[in-house]
Amino acid sequence: MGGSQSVFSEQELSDYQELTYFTKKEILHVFKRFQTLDPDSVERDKNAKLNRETILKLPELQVNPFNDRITTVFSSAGDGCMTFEDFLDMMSVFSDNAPKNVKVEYAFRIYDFDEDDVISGKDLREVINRLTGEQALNDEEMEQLIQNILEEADLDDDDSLSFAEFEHVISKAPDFINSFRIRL
Amino acid sequence: MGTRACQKCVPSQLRYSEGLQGVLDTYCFFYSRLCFKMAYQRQNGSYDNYGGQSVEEQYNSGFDDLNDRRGDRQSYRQFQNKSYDNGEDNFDSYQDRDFDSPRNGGYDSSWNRDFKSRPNGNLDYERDREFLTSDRDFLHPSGRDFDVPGSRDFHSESQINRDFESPRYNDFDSPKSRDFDSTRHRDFDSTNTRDFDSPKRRDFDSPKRRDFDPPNSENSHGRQKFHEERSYRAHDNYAYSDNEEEYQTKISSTQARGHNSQQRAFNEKYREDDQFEERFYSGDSQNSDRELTKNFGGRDRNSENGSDDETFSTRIGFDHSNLDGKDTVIVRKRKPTNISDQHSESDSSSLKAISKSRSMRKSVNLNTLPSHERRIKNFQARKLEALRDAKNLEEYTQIYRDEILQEPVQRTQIWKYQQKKAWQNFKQQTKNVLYQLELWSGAFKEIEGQFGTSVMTYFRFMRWLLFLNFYLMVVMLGLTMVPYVIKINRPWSFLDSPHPNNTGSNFTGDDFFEKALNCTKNYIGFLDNQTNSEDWGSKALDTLQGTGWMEHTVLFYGTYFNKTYSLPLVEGRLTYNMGLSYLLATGAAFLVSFFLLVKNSAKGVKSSVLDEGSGQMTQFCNKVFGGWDFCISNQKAAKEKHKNLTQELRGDLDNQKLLWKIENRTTREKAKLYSIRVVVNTVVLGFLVGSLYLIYYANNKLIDLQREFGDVHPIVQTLIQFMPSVTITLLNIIVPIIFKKLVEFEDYMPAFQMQITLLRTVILRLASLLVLMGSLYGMVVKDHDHFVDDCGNKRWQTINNTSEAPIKCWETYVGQQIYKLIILDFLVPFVLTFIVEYPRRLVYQKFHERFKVVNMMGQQEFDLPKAVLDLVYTQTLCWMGLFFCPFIPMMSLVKCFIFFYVKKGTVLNNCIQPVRPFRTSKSNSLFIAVLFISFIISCGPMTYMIGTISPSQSCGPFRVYSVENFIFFDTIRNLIFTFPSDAQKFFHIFGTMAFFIPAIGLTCFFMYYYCVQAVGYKRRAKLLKEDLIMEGKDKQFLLARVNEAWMYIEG
Repeated sequence: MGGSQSVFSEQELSDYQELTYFTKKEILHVFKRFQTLDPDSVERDKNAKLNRETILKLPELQVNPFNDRITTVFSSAGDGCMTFEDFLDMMSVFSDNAPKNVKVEYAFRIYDFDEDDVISGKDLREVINRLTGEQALNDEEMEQLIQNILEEADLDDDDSLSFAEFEHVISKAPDFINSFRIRL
Repeated sequence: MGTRACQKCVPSQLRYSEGLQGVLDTYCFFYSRLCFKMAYQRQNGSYDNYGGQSVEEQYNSGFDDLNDRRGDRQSYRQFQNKSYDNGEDNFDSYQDRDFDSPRNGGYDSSWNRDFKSRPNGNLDYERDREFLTSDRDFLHPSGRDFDVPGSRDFHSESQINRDFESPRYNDFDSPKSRDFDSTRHRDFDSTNTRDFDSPKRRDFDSPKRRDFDPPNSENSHGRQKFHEERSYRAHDNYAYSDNEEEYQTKISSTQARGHNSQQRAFNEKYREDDQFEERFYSGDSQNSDRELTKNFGGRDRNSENGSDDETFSTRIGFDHSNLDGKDTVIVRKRKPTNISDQHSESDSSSLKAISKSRSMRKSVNLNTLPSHERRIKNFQARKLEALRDAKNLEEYTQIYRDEILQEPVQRTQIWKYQQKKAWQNFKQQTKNVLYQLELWSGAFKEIEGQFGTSVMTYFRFMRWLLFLNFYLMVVMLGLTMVPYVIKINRPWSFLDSPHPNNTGSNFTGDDFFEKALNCTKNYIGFLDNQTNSEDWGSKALDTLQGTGWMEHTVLFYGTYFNKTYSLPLVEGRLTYNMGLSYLLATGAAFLVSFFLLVKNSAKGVKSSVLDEGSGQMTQFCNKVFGGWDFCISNQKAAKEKHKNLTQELRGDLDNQKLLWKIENRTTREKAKLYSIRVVVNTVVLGFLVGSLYLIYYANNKLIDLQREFGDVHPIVQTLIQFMPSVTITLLNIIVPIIFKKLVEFEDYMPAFQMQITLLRTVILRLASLLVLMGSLYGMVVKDHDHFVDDCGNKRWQTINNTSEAPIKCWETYVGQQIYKLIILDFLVPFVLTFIVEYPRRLVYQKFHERFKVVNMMGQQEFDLPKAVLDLVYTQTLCWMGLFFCPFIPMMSLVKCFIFFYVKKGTVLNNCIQPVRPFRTSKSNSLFIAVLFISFIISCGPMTYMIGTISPSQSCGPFRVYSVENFIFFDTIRNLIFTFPSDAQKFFHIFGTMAFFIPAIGLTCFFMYYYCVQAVGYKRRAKLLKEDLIMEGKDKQFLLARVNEAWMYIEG
């Protein structure tokens, strides 16, 4: 821990602590994990921008079917590249301490593949496809499933879920809060 | 996160917005806007060193700079003065005309007042005006520029819209400014600014225009406020304006050319005027943009704002004010910090006026539509890029920090915040520590990775039981066995214990003590007779049965008696009242179980209340959106999860199809089905009754048989001893299988099928236990013809030398029965696992390709309900037996511990995923519910026994009676009699009606109150949901109107 202690000033650490759901110790831990992704460039510059491939070396992200979306959503540049602060931001949102509404917001952005601020049928199809592995359900099943989801959640019948609708349905989905997290 | 960061430092003057969220959003938004502006200022190269400046200074300098620039523009203005004034003249003339109409007079005067009646020294006001005019100055030409090519074909509305995309901006150098313009065009197409300015438009004499006039236009007050507000917006957007200037100066020459045609078009078509005016009030661009998108389906809600958020979120956190639709309101409330309070008041009240007019607009003004989504997106993207290039992290942090530090924060707030933060940190750290200490968390993760969370809940349940048994063990052993075993000058057996008279305690009458002594002697002699001739083999068998040498150990009730210790430090001797301790330990054990159960089931109840009524409603969403476990970090587990999810989803879909099928059943089919169900239920009932009778019979026959075969081989005797237990265990294995087969004929929904099988099996299990208890009760409590009733035992001695065996200490006897059941319950699944399940897997692996039969048999599926029932059964035995055999909690603890590994091994190696997994969120509450039932069932006999039955005089801690017809509870009563009289009275009240009736009444009242409350909440939730739906319907309706209008315009 001593080595990375000097990486951040006390001021920076306390700023980070204020702005995330982490303690200082955890922030350093996050930094360690960030460092393991690409030790060389982080050694050179702690705010190094790592590209998507490097970020995806994180085991949790590696197998995550939404990993490209996660990196895009959390990347400040929007191109999947992440600086340490982006990374910290991401881990903070996925931490146990992040409140549900924050998680829901990010989940919405992650699931909104075409970034049109609604989760449309197309987005749902993509989500399901990624969840089940490619093309595991046949078309008929897929249609039925999407229809069911929209029936459950789409309150205004516009065939897509707005954020409010998404939030509403997530509030009733007990498994979400348990599953939407990454342990440090 | 952004919100969190801002919590500490909300500026007090922003607090007037609705609720805390509004405040925070406002604040966050303000910051994001600030940084947005900064970016533009930097880009224009106008301001170089903003880092250390406060916001106010920035504003001021920004304004000053703009004023300077205005000077540069003077020439241009003069140059185009004529043309521009044309518009202005028009404007003035409408105003004049409007003065005649009483309706608009108010408006105009307010307009003028807005500009004139301000005190001269009011810098803000001046600045406002500056901005307004400067906006007008440079926006007007840009509008004209836009109109140059458009003027040729200005006849149709759609043409104008098309023109936005025409390459007329090619002569501008900056692509960004073009973007600005295009967005602004879009804004102007939106209904926003037009409505505000509608009175002016009346000059065009379009009756349609007049309709647009909001009803509140008479309200001069509101208008004035509106104008004020608008001027603030001009403030906020000076960055844009600034930017726009750049190209305006460049294009001034071209504008001169286009001027005439523009003017013509201007006069010809009122539409054009819209655009003119929209430029005029371009300060609204941001707000109107947002409003536009909000009004039209919210497609692009994020787009304009997105850039701000991007910048902001990456630095401070993510502020989603744009997502919850509050932004329009917030923007209106935002204002430069140095504006007086008067402003803020009028600002907020103008809100109402605006929202009113907006609602009008929504329904009426459909001429222009947001048809440029793609372009907006491009624009956003480029703006973002520009922003990213421009921003500088240190600068922003500095600004934010300064801002935050500048805010006056009360000391108590800081303290509160710090306390909260410290507490949170503490909580999290303890949580982390506990998490590391958590038993079997690694195993959980492994199982979860392979079998999903539903199977994991079984193991979690097992761990919970382990802890429960641990507590029970501590209570029972700590209060009974440990004091018994401690060796401080104690009597070694009851026969050696000193006469109560000698101890000085207040026992009345020696006869009870003498009686107890005699009975005990008799019992010990009887025991010795049995055990004397035993060899090692029969000793081993005794171990299994709890008879023989084991009967007189600390394992069983019979051994315990009141002990007297001489303590080294205290004068005299101290009697440990074992009877009291025994009773209290039992009570404490039940209480502990009760509280743990309630605590655990409360969790389940909470979640089940949450999704009550919509439990089935959100199952798909739950699976899809909460399906992926983001913790999963290895490839194999991920693959499993994919498979698992597919299976679950497919299962649910099949389930749904089944539902549809059920709905489509014909009457004939229904009749057939119901008759089948009736038959099956009868059969099930028959099985239940049959097996219960079998248990009863086996139990009653046991002692007879024992007598009959008294002289055969001890192993046979042991088998006979085990007969009731074996019967119960066998029935528990066989009958559920039959139930499972039978339920398939009934054609229930899979979930219900599982539940009803579970229910039947539970009934069988618990009923068999109850029958066992019942038959034991009959044996030890009822009078018998052939036996002498003595020493508290009904079967103390045989009279007519019948074949039936006597029971000398009935508590121990009951304990032995339960002990046997527990031993069996432990051995049978163990054996089954290694003899059946393991070979089955081997056979399947080797032969399933060669033999059809093997293939048909398939692999072992993990039967969750059955496994859970096994656990519940063991726990029930534990509760029932802990009084008679205080060692039992420890046995079930060991059983849980070993079984965890056995089950884990068999699940991971021998079993395959259940085809229909349980619903995770429900299963735990179901387990607990079943456990609760069994708890209550095991409580019943216990309380009955303690309250009514006399204990044995030959054994146990209660053997010395204090009264005739002594019962267990008398021990407590005796204790209370030793209390001071006031305390006695106090306890006495508990036993009277005067206490019970009010207590029950009060409880009923509270229950009723909470029930009513729950109903109310449910109703409210329903109403809110209806609101949500209606809102959506409204939106759809409006969109449909919009589309209609669009079709109409398109022709």
